[in-house]
Amino acid sequence: MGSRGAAAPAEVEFTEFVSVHYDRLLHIADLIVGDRGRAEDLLQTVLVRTFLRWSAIDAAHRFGYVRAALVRGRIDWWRRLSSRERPVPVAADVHAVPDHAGLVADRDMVQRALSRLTRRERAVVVLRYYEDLSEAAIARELGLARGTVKSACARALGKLRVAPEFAFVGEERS
Amino acid sequence: MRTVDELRTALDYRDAPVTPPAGALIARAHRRRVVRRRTLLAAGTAAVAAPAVAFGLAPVRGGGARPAAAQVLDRAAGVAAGGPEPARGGTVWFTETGYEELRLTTPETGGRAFLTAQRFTTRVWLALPDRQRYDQEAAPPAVAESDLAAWVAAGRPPLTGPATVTDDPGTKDTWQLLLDDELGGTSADLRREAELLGRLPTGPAGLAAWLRRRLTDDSAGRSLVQWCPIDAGSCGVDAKLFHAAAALLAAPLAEPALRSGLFRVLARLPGVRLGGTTTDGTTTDGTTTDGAGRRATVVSVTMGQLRHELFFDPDRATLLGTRQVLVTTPADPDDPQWTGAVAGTAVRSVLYLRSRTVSAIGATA
Repeated sequence: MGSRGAAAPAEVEFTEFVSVHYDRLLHIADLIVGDRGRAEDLLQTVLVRTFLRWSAIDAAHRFGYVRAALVRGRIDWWRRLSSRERPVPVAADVHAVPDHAGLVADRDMVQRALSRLTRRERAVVVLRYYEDLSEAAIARELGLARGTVKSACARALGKLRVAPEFAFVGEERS
Repeated sequence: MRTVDELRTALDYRDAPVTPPAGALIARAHRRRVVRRRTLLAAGTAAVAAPAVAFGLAPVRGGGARPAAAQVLDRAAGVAAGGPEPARGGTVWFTETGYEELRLTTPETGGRAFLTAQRFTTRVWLALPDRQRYDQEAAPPAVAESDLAAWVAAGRPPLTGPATVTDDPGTKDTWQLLLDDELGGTSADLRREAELLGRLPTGPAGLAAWLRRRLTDDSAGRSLVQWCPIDAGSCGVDAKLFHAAAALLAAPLAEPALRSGLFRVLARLPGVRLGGTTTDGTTTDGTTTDGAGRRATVVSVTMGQLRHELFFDPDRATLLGTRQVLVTTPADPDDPQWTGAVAGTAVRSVLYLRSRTVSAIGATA
């Protein structure tokens, strides 16, 4: 980074925002994209753009702004014929996570189940059941009719109910 | 899964923790700002220079491609204008693309990222007017020679990249747009994309202006995601326009007039020269061999640390491929993106291997 003296207020705010929300936003991106590396690409590119527009974004809506950019980017990362800039996060204290294999297994199971959905269904499921947004809020965020959100959600739940990965979860945790 | 609560629990799986890279993101944003200011300054300079031109004080070097490149591209434009008609309704159009990218891959278990190369073969079927299917065959990522020793020393942590995928969305829920990679938020489905291609301006000035407007639109939800594999200074708007033109040339739905206009846009793009490696386009006719061993003409534009190359068949004016090649060895200690990658390394290459009508979705011959 190099030294620039005292950080500007925007930098301080942005750093705090990223510190507080990065993990959750990365999780959303991971659920949407289905690939951790691509999720980092997407999130970090969106965050850079967000920083450039920082002062123009209402402080109360910054999280929603980034989340909307993530899900409305409509970029299909596995199909994109590109790579892009990606600052690589430094791994935190790995000793705090005793069971990486367990984490990877959970993630893979969910991702396999989500891969049965269309991209729209996937986004709706993530916003509805991870972000706990209402159908109306999802409709606004995705730029869809509320009925479209409702039907996409119903279709997605139908698929997930019969997904073998989630059937396993239900049996194990019930 | 029996209840939505179980779904909520499943979606909330634990991730390996990471330290948010806020500082690196801010540094990158500042670099992008500098580029934007330079662009604005250049635009301002051009505006000031315009009256001087009117008074006969033209700059030594005008805009547009180098003369030799412009001549070759204008000739290709003429060939393209008489080219075959695009895919029509009732037909199934099949394309096969080879793609390779170099990138840093972080192991699933976290820790240091390693430079890897991954190859993909993508097969696309467009059943006009509104059906499409994509298959992408992915080879496993391979650690680059320059990072191999470090990867072995780290215990050979498993590295995964995008997987092999078949996507057959039918006519609905097709979020992916054929041109979205380069143009961002262009349309919503195949039918609308075809309509868009049909109404694009075909004159070089109008077409270039449309592309520039599209590529510089920063409004939320549109071109938020950029494809640049390195610093923003290496992917200015002219480079984006160069690749957007390539994406449109690759579209089987593009009319001959549009394809001709795209070659003329390239002929008027500042800095475009013949050849991929020479410093003076006038010393070569740009003839080379592409990654599939085909005779090709190559034109290129260099921005920052990347040379952007476009290969085409000069006889048929069809696109054969594109590449992005490092022209310097990145030395920014804050930018780990290309650790170990040296000048001359192709960081991204696309080969358009097959493009033809077939009998049905899934058929390749």
